[in-house]
Amino acid sequence: MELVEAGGLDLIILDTNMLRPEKESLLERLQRSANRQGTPYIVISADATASRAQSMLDAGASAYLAKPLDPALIRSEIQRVLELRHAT
Amino acid sequence: MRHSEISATLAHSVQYVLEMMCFAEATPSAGLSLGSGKRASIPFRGGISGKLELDVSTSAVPGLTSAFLGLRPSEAPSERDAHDLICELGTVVCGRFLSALDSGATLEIGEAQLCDLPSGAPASSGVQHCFQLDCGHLAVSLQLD
Repeated sequence: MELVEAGGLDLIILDTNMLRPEKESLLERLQRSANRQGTPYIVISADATASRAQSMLDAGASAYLAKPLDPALIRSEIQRVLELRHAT
Repeated sequence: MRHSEISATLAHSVQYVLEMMCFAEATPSAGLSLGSGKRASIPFRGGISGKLELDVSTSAVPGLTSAFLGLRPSEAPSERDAHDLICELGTVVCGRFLSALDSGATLEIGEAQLCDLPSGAPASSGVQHCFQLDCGHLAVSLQLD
């Protein structure tokens, strides 16, 4: 959290399954801080439902990737998000 | 959805996740006894509610963990890593299965709970599948509320 709040990060990759036990509160804090800093973040989760993906995207996530991860997909999403960040 | 479709979706989810995460081929095998091992139990609720249990035989745990972490043959995975892997596998199988079952559902997948699988433990009721792996066995069972 300190790193995120300090700013200066190019990209955050959040694995929501690793945020337990305070999963939701920590996720919200990370999202708020990342949005405030203008730091893009990609959410990774085991929950592949469309409703969960949409709620994360609505909250400001740059991308939502469901596990199991496809290495080519995560590489292309990281590239896309970084290119977008550097273009703005 | 019919029982046969749920069963086929569950089996496919296990095989897909094992291949993607651990590069492991899981061959369906009827009536296997896992012996000793670990069980990850994952509750879920929402449009569909129930519990998914993933059982991994003791012999399969090190190989799956090493494959997932990309360890060298000389490196032995820690017990903590192995336990995390079983919980992660169970959670990802659960997420994959539920989204395949109903991608539009609003669901909450709970935290995986790990326990020992006692030797000779009776299988849970519900939809079940057993798989033969290179290094051991794995089983999954699903109970819908």
